[in-house]
Amino acid sequence: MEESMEEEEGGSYEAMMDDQNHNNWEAAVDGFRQPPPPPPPPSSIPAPAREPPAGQLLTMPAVSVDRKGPKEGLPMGPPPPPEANGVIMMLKSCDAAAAVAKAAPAPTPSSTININTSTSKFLMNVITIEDYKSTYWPKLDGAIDQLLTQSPGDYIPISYEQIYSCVYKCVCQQHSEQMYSDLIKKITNHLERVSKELQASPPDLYIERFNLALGQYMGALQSIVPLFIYMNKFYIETKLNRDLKDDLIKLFTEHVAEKHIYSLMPLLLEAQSTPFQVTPSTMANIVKGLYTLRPEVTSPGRELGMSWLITARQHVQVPEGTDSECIECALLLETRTHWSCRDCTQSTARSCRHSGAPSQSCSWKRMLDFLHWFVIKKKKPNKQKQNKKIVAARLGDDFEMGQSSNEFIYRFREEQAA
Amino acid sequence: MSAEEMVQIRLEDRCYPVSKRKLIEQSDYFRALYRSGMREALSPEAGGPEVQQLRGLSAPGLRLVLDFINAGGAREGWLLGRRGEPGGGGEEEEDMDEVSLLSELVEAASFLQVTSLLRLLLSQVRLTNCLELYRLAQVYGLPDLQEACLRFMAVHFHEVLCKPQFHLLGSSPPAPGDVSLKQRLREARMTGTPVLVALGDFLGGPLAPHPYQGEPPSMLRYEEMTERWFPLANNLPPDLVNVRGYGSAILDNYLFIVGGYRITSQEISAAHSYNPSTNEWLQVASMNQKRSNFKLVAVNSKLYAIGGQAVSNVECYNPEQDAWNFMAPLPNPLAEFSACECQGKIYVIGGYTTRDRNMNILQYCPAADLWTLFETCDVHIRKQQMVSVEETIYIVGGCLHELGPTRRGSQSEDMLTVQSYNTATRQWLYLKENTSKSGLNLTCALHNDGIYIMSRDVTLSTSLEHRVFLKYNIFNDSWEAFRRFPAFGHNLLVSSLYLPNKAET
Repeated sequence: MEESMEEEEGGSYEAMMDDQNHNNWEAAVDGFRQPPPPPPPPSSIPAPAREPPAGQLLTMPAVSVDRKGPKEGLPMGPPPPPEANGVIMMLKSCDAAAAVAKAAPAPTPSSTININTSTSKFLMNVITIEDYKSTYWPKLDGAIDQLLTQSPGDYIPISYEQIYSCVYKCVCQQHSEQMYSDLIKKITNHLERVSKELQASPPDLYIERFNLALGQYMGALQSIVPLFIYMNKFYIETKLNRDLKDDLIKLFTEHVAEKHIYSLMPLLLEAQSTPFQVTPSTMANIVKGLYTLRPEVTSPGRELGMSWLITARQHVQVPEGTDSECIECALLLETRTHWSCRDCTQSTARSCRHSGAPSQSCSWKRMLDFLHWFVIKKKKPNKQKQNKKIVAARLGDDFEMGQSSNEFIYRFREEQAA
Repeated sequence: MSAEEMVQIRLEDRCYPVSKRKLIEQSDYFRALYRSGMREALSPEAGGPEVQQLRGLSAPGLRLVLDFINAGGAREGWLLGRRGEPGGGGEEEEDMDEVSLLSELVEAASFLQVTSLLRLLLSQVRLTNCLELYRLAQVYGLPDLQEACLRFMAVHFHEVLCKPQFHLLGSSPPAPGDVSLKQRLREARMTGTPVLVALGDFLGGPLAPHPYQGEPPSMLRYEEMTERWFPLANNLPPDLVNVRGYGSAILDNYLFIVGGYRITSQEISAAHSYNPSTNEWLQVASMNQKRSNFKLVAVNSKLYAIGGQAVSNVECYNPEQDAWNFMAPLPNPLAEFSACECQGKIYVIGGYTTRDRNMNILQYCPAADLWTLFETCDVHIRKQQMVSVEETIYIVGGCLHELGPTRRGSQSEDMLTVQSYNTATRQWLYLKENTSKSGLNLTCALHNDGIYIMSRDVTLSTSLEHRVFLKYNIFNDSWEAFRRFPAFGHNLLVSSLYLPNKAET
């Protein structure tokens, strides 16, 4: 026992950092070798049997110091020269002192600490960065892939417990930073691929596909975010002061929504002009999704958008044929009563044939406002900036609403192409 | 209640039933699990699992956490582990269990993210578990708990510092640019309000500035705004009452009182420290040598006990080991000398050797453990007090005797003077004198912008006129006299400590 303890001590002190005086190591060892330490309570000598036989034992003989113990009258000469068996000496003096300590009024409780973390099965094996790269991340990578590509509502065969444990281990073994960057990289790649696929889709499928991509991504986040809550709570929230869900939503905004909003909005407008080309629910989903992408929305953006959303929902709820006038008013651009948006906004109540329901041109205006807000809100100092400015100017107050929406859309597309 | 949906949690080969509602309420793990739509989120009828399988956790830790969840969260008086009646001591085996149980509990609570349980741990930090909890907080990324442990360890700094485990915690190198745990705690101790504290065997009675009820207090603090002294809620430990000629020094905002002699003229070696953060006295390791009328000096986070009555040896106290070690001795035993720390070195000035006046200034370098003759001066001084600010040593009081041709009148031998000695330029300055006061029996402390001096001349019968409470302002070289002397008494010591900011009761 004595031998093994000596080994432990040497090993642990070698691992110990030196202080600025470079005397920590020596001082610490001297402390055990020179005059007898104050009598520790008998409980302070740990039972080595409790320690697992792992190689990286760090547990110290817990010489917990009884500071109340009787200490007067320990006259000592000059210290003996350091000896190789200093630890043994110390133990002997501990034994001798143990009897004294028993008589002490209140023995302090033992304070053995399992400095080696090996009581935990999770942390018993050190995960090196190579382990992380070869074993742990691939496991997560596969699960994320599966979650990103399945349809919402599908049965997910992945075990939450297994993936969560995997994340947990990596966080506890200080791989949060790497894992976070891997996750962001992975999802960014995925979204770039999604964006490219969208770009390649024919216009008649574009809206539906955008809706699908959005829905699939949001559905995947429903699972991905909970899987990474440990990393979120103990790394992203505390160290980066951010939130994983926000970060992942932002990725979609940056890599998909913003790239496609210019193509999407005119198509949405066009779709409105063609009855039932796009189902109202798709429309509602897309608008709702676009709102999710901008969680920091404040008025007037939110008000505008929300009212548009409500309008869209109303339309969804109206059963076909029950109020033909309402549907007509809401969806069919052909039946518009007045086309000039300026007039419309100036006298919304009067201009709508149904006092309660908003006119289609109002909702159209709101949609443009929404687009306006969506584009303007994001300030990105890159080459797109100039283009955006033009769009913003077109959509701003100075924009003349032309004679027909098609003209606007035409111009809009031209600008896009340029 | 009986219809509550129960979930079976399996760990290894055992199942633990828990209320699903409570589980979702208390554990972020299960809340997220049921929200994730993944395999385990489905009910057994819909193809989900019969039991919720957990792996890797320890059974006792999980059981504790599930008990907590089943009990519906935090309860009044919830205590960590098994805690018997206070003072019961508990069996060794239980204590061991408690510590290892702690890490299992924290692991299970972290894994399952039972935040209310983790929050509860903040109030459970103890001397026996603070290091372990600190380590666990680092491992599992619990910043609040880490903060709570740091606060606790700063308050109980020396008790924590001398635990062997403390050095192991420091073994993982802090991130670049990060200070070590020791340094952080040391800095945390130097917060609060600097307050002048007076210790002594004060006498009660109607003449005392404050008619204290019952026993007069032995520890007072000075409130500068109202210029009044108030008793501290603690008194000198009984061991220290009527001990004279002790050494005192402040180390890490602990006031150490070491050695001295009892009225029965026994010298002692005991050492005590007062911790203002807890308002408690602790007995620490005794010196190897009994000594009195010596000097105790704090340098580089260690204490040095220098000389004493017919003693030339020097001992060093390291709070990290709570032990005294002999160092290089003084060249000669000295009497009526003084010493102080100045820029990491110890300077010893004045007094008598066994056969002559000590005219030498000695310098001790702790790193080299070496005494050197720094300079020989032509003024003899004894029984002075010394403090230092940067490279300047202030020599307060004492009895001067000039041997050179420029000697002053003999009255200088018994008056309160302040001189400075610059260790860089080796220049002496005679700063200020206060002719009506005696400089022989005083205590002083560096506090804020000045040296606060208390003197009580016991040789004269009209003692009232010779009790002095003065401040020497070192920046504008001026005296300031205060009216309120703490109390009648002997054996006065004044020092400056950081007291916790909360109002002292």
